[in-house]
Amino acid sequence: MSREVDQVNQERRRFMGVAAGAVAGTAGGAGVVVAALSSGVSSDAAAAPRTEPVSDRHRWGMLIDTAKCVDGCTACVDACDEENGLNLQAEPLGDDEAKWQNQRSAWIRKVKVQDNASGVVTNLPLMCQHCEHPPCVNVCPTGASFKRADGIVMVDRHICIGCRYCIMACPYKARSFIHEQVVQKLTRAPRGLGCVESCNLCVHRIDDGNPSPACADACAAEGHHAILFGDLNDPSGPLRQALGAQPNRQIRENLELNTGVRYAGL
Amino acid sequence: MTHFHPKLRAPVAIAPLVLLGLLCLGLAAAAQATGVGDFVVDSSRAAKLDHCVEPTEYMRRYHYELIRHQRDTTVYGGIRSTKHSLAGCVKCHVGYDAQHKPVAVNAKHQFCNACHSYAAVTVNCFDCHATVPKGESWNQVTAGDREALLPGVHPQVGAAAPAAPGAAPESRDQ
Amino acid sequence: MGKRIVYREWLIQPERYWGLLAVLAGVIAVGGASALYMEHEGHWVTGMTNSVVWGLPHVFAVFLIVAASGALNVASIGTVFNKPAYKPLGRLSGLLASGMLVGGLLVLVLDLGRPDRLVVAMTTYNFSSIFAWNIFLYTGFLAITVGYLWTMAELKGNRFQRPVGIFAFLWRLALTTGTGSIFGFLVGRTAYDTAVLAPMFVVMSFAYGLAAYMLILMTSFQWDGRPIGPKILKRLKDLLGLFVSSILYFTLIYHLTNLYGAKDADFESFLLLHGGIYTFLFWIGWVLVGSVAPLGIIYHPRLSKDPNWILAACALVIVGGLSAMYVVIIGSQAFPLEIFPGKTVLEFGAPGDVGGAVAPYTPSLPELLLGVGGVAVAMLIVSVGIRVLQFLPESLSDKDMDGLAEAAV
Repeated sequence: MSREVDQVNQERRRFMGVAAGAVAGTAGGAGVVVAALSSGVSSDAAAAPRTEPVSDRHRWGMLIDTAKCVDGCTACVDACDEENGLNLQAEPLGDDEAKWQNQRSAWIRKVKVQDNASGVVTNLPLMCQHCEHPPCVNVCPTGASFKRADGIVMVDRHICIGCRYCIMACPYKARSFIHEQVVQKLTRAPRGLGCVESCNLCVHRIDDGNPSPACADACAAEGHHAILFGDLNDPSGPLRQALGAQPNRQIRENLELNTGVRYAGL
Repeated sequence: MTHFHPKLRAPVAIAPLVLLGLLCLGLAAAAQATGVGDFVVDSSRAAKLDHCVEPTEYMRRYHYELIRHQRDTTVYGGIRSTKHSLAGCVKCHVGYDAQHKPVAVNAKHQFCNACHSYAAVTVNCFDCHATVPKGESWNQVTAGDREALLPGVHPQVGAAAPAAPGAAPESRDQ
Repeated sequence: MGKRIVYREWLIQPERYWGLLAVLAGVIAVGGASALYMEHEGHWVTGMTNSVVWGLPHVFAVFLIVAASGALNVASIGTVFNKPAYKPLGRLSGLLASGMLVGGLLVLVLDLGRPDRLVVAMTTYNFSSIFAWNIFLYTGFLAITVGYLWTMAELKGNRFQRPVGIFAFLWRLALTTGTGSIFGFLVGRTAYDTAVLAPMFVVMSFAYGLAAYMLILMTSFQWDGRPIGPKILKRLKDLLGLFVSSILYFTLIYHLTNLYGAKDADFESFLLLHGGIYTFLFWIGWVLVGSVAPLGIIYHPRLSKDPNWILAACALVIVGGLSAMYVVIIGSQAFPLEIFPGKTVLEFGAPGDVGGAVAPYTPSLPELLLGVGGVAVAMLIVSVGIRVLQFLPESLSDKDMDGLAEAAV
C-alpha cells in the first residue's frame, strides 16, 4: 500500500505544477477554483447543459490541417491529459519504464510521418477517429463499446468486461486498456482498472453546451488552429465549409469506415 | 416483512408505499439502531439541508435505482445535469476533515461506507468514479440545479436551463 | 453388432490416483493464485501492453478451446461416419472435449480486465460481435457434449446417438470456425485480415484435438495396464498424420495468400525471415517440431509401430500447436499496425511504442501459470471422470476390436 501512496504523492507533486493543483487547496475553495477554471472555457452565455437525449441531428467531427500542426508542439496532448485526468496515472512501482509507456492510457498521440516517395514530413495528432462504422463497436461482445447518436464512439465502462477485443480491432491504435489500479480520478473523467477507454471528443464539454474539445482549444490558444471541431451534419457550419474548401482525407480510407476525423495535407 | 416499526419517525409525510419499501430488512434495522439522518456526515453540505433530492426514506431504498437510471441517461443520452447524478451525491455528501480537505465518500465511517459496510453490500461505483469532488465538469459546478436543493426551494430538474431546452447548445456551432 | 464393448472405471492404485489429483490440484491452485494476483494488481504485472493486448493466457485458452472441439472428432468418426472401430473411443472423446473446453474458458475468463463482470458477459449481448456468438457456441458445445455422452452411455439414449452426434459435429465445426473468425476478420490487422484463418483453425483443431486425445488415451491405458492393439493405434496415428499434413498445407496457403497481396509482403518477411522469436517459433515450433518431426515419426516404417514414439509424436504436435498459437495470436499483434500506408512513421507520441517498430512482449510468470492451470483443470476433469464413471473401454486389443470391425463390414 505504501508504494501506492508514494506514487500518489509523486504524481501529486508533478500535478501541482499545473493549474488544477489548486484542487488540493482548501475545501470550500476547491469547487470555486475548478468552477473558475472550467467556466473560463465556456464563458459563452448561451451554453447550457443538455436536458434531452442526444440525437443524430449532429455528427461531431474534426478537420485537422496538418500544415498548421507544428513539429515539437504537444499542446493538444498536454491539454487532453489534463482535461481527462490522464496525467494522474501513476506508474506502478516495479514496472518497467518502457513497458509502462505502452501500458498507460493515451487518448491522443503526436505523430510524425514521412512519405516514402517524396520524403515530405508531416505532423499530426492521432486520436479515436470516431468512425461511422467503428470496428471496435462491431466486435464488442457486450455492447460496451458503442456509438452515441451524435457520432461519438465511446465505452460504457459499466458493462465493459475488459476483453480488449476492441483494441485488437481498432485500425488506429486509438484505444487503451487500464493496466493498473487508479487512485486519482476526476469527476468528469471516471477511470478504473480493467476497462478500455479512448478519446470521446471531451463528451462532458459537449453535453454541457460547450462543444469544443480540450485539444482544439489548446491548439487555438497556441495560435496554431490546426484542429477544427464542428458538426459534420451542418452544411453551413464552419467544419463543413472548411472540408469543402480544402482537399482532405481519412486515415486508412480504404477501410471505408467513414471517420469523423479528417486530415488535410496528409 | 410487513410490520412497521414505531421508532421510525419521518420528518415529512410519506406515502405508505415508501414505508413499505423502507422495511427492507437491513435498512429498517439500521434505522432502528440509529434513527434518520445519522449517516449523513456532519461536515458535509448535506448536513445543512432538510432532505436529499428525494425524501430520505425513498433515497434509502431506491438511491441505487436512481443512480443507475441516471447513469444510462448520462452515458447514452448525454444528460448530465440532473439531480440524480452520482457526481451530485459525492459533491453534497462528501465530508471534510479538520484541515477542510475532502474525505473520500466511501472511506471508513463516511457517508457511503457507513451504511454499505453495515448492510454488507459492496459499492462498485468508486472503482472508476472520483470519491471527492475534483475536476467536475462545467455543469456540475455552475448549473443552478444544486441551488434547488437549498431549504425552502423545491427541487426542479432542469430549472436552470433556458426556456427552449437544447436550443442553446445547437446555436453555438453554427 | 458382433461384440459388446465393456467399459470400466479407471482402476489404478488409489495412491497413484490421489497423488495425481493432488499434483493437479496444486497446479490449479497456483494458476488460480496467479489469476487473483493479476486481477488485483492489474495487467501491468503481465507482459501485455496496449500493443500486445492478448498474451500467453490467450495462447493457452485458444489452444485448449480449439483442441477441445477437435477431441470430439473421435466420437464423431464413430457415430457420424459409422466407423465401428472408433465406437469404444467415443466416451473419452466427449469427456476430454468438455474438460479442455472448461479449462480453456476458465483461462479466457480469468484473463479479462473485469472477470467479476462475467455475469454482464452472459446477460448483455452485441450480436454483431463474433465474441458474443462464441459465448453461445461454447456453452452450447458443453451442453451438447454432455447430451452426446448420455446417448453413448445410456441404453435408452442409444437411438439418439447418431442425430445428436451429427448435431455435435456440425456444432463443433461452427465453434472452431467462430474461434478462428475472432482473428479472421480484423480489418486493421494485416496478419488477420484473411478468411483462410477460419478453415485453418478447423484443421488445427482436428490435429491438436486428436493428439491430445491419443496422449490421454495411451497414458491412461498404460497406467491401468489395459491393452491397445496395433491396429487401432495405426488407424489413429495415420489419421493424425493426415491432419498434421493438412495443417502444413493450410499454412502454405495462408502465407501464399499474404504474399500474393503485395501490401502484406512486409508482414511475411517479418514472420518468415526476421521476426526474432516469432520467426523461430514459426519455423522451429510450428513447422519443424509441430509438423515435420511428427510426420517423420508417424510415417517411419519402424518408429511408427512403437507406442512410445507415437506418444512422442502426439506431444510434438501439441508443442507445435502452442507455438502456432503464439505466432498467430502474439506475433500478429507485435507486428506494427499499418496506419499510414506509403509512409514511414518517425514518431508516434510519447506513450506507446514507436510506430513501425515491433512491439516487445515478454510473457510473465503469472501468465504462464494461469495457462498451465487451465491445462490442469482439463486433466483433472478427465481424471476424475474416468475414475468414477465408465468412460474407458476395458480393452482395445485387436482381438476385442475385430468383432466390432467385422460387424460393420
